[in-house]
Amino acid sequence: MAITKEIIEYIAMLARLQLDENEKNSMVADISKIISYFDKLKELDTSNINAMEFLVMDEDVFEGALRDDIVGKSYDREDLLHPEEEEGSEYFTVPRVVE
Amino acid sequence: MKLHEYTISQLHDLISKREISVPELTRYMLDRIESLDSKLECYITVTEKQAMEQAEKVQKMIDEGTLNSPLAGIPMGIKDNICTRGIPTTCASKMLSNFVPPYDAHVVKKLYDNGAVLLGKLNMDEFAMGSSTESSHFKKTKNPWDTERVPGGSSGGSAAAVAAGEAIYALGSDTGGSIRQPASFCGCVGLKPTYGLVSRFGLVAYASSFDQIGPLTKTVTDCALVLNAIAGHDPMDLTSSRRQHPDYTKALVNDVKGLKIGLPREFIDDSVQKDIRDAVLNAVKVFSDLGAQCEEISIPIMEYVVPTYYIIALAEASSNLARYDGVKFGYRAANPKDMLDFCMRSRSEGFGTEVKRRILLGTYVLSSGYYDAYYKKALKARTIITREFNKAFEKYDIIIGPVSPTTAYRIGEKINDPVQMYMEDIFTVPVNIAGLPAISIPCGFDSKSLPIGLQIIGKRFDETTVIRAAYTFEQNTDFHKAWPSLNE
Repeated sequence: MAITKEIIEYIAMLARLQLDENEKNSMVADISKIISYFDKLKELDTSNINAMEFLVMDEDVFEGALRDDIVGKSYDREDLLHPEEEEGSEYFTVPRVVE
Repeated sequence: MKLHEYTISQLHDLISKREISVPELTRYMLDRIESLDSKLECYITVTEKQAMEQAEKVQKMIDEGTLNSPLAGIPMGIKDNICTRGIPTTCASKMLSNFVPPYDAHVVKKLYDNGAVLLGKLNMDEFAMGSSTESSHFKKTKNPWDTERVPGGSSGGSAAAVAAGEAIYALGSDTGGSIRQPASFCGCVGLKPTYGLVSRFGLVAYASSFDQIGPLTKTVTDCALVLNAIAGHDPMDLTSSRRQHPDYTKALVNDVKGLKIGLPREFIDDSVQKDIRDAVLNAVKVFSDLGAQCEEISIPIMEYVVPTYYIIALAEASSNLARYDGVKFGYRAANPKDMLDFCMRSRSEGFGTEVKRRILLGTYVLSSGYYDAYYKKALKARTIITREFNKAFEKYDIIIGPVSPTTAYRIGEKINDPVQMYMEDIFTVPVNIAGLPAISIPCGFDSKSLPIGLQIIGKRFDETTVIRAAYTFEQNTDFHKAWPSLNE
């Protein structure tokens, strides 16, 4: 299916990206080319093949990977706050989301 | 011979014999960066003050006899997508230009424990998305062999710094070839370890089912030394293997007698630059003359590896990069109207074009109606590709071939043709798809005197055989001894 400007606008909204008109036009062109290249994969017969959700893992390698639920070391709040937070702030600040 | 031309093992000798102190060596390297980096632009951040402090500390520990690692006091650089506590880690993006990590990546901690001295953070493609380091928000790194050409990517700063002697060694990350291809373009040694061998804790995620951290060094011996230090289990990375890793310096054996080597004919077809084909065929001859058994094989699935890789990688990237919304870290848009505007503008102003293109592609292949046709299909293709490589490894100990179909190209030459750029990853991406280890080592020069890399691919967790083959090739050839002139 052809990649239209409407599709790019829809995908950009899903991805929370704003594109200007120039960006939209160049994305339509580039993404069309790339998707047609991806379409090559349609030739490949994958019937009766399982999807590889995880990389093959040897059992002995990952056995016991789940650790006990023990409280570990944490970080200083100051180090974790956004550098643009006001001095002394204890929270991440975002625009008001409730009226 | 000048100090920056020495390898890790040679400098370790000099430091042990008190012929040079760690602060002297560190000062020398910082001065070299100062004089050379305005031309090559390898570093995003140079950590002069911390480096000198670290050098003094390490020298004291060596004098007291409390530190005896082969990496002790050796100055190195780290790709700028690997977190360093208190030192900016930008991913070469405007998005993370203000990000100072509150912790060290596992590999960084391991290197510090071994007495490594950090010189600075190295340039890369933005969020490791690219093969030329041209998508960096900050600067374009030049290839030390020809400063009008790219160093490769995405670990282009790491490879160029090692090749030019602006770092004795460096760490890079490899999602689809980002250690091996720049190593090949710059004439150094680059290893992508088996998926699971090296912890990614503290590596900024791009495509989590492919990403691996690995060393870029001057020699195979140095590669084994760095790998020894960074490999091993880390509970902070769920994919980190619990398997005990061997001492990789034990694999530095000059012998390939009886080694079974496969050369896929798809790796030396007409799409590959002739100089590179000749260099790879010459490598086959070197191995055969040393008693290895080389045979041509076929891996017909090769024509599907690039679309498979990109569909999965970009799907994972679109998900991983969803965290950049301006809230907890990273670029924040000014004067937002509301939360949605805050998120959308922070992302749109913070990310560069290639990152946006990849997020959009990843979102597309995961979106309702296209998920099965692209993403699910690619996961099935991944099963087939992995199976074909594993099948080849039932008969062969290693597979060899080129790293890239071309040598280093001119800055700006390919940046406007994304499909062409993606297609040139053909020989490196299957290794990430199947989670295998692979190394790039120097194996010749093209007609323009640009370096050519030989790729040696091994079985999962069999870095030992990869290193042994690479070491044997290196000991029987002189390609790794050449230095770029840099008009010094």
